[in-house]
Amino acid sequence: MASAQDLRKRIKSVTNTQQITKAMKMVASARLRKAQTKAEATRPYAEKIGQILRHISNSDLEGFSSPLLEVRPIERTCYIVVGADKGLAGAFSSNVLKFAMEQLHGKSSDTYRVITAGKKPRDSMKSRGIHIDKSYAGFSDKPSYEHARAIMHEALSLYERHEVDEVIMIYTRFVNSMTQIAQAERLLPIEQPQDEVKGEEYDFMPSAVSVLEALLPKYLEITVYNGLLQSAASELGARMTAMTSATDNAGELIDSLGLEYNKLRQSSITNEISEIVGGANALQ
Amino acid sequence: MAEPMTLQIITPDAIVFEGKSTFFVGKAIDGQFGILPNHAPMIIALDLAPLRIDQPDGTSRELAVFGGFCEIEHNKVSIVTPDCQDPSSIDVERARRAKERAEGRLSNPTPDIDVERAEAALKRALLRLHVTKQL
Repeated sequence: MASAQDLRKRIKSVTNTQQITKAMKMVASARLRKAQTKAEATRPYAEKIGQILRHISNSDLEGFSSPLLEVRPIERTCYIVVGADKGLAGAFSSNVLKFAMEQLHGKSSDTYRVITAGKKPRDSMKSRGIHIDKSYAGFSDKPSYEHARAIMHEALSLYERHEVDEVIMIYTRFVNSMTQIAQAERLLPIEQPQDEVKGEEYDFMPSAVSVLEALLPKYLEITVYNGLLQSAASELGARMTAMTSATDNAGELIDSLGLEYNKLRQSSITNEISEIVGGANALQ
Repeated sequence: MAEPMTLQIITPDAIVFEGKSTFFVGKAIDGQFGILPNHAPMIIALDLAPLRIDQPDGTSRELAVFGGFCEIEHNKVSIVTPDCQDPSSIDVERARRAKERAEGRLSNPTPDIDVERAEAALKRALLRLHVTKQL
């Protein structure tokens, strides 16, 4: 049985840990709110770009088809795996990794290319012996549009050089702070929206084809940006939940250690009293 | 005079401008254009260029628009662009340094330099300097 001194030390250390997890929980929840607003703020842009794409798809392109829309037989795939830079976010990192490994399962290493965003997916995939073509890190909880552009630029050049025939992004969709879902989304080739839009015909300047050519990369960038933001919100949400339960667990541990310490203290006092009483009795 | 059009500038991070306009001038990838109210529906691919917006009160303002698209529908204009900056928020010194850096890279290209990227950086720096009237 532990001595009273050991217990005191233990209680002190657990209290310190609790303070740290509490602070991390508060930081994560403040950042989560920011990340959520940011994810919301991209919606008008994404919707407008999608709307323009639909308008173009409905217009006459004189038989033009962008290579980005063209479906090739799939021999090689590029995976963009989006994850966290830091740990302490519960199962967040391992969920993304598990999902990514399922996608890669059974494929020989020359049929896929991997681009990672975030330190965790990079490190854990490397340690599983997967070759990573390009990795980005340092922005997992506060991505900017520039990061999305850089990632998409890399994937797009692989696609344009015919080194891969499709590009899939694996990221975590934010539902709420308790639920985040790891999922895959195909970026390339782009699926052209088929639904008819009502309203009048649009004119294009300089031409529908050149607008389309300029639009597609932007469409991809915003899709990746949205993925990064979703993943950032998910990471912070997962961290907040993980840190909340860590703080609660530390509290429980402190309570039970306190109980044990008090019992120990009481029994040693009882012991002492009985010794003194015994000693006094012997003197009489 | 025709009813002024509603103009909205949307970037990935926010709606940076929302207001009325009686006339605006921008640059498409094949040249400059001006739009008056009640224009027919149209979609325009924009170049990196200053965008001049004439407001109903007679003032006009100029913003740096870094490419993107302009959609006109029913007197409602939406400009979607990866980035749009007001001259007051531009760091002139930084833009000037970026310009020099890009020019330096382009004048003695070494194999590890991405010419396309340097050109894009130069274009962005020039646009920033242009709208802040430093050029």
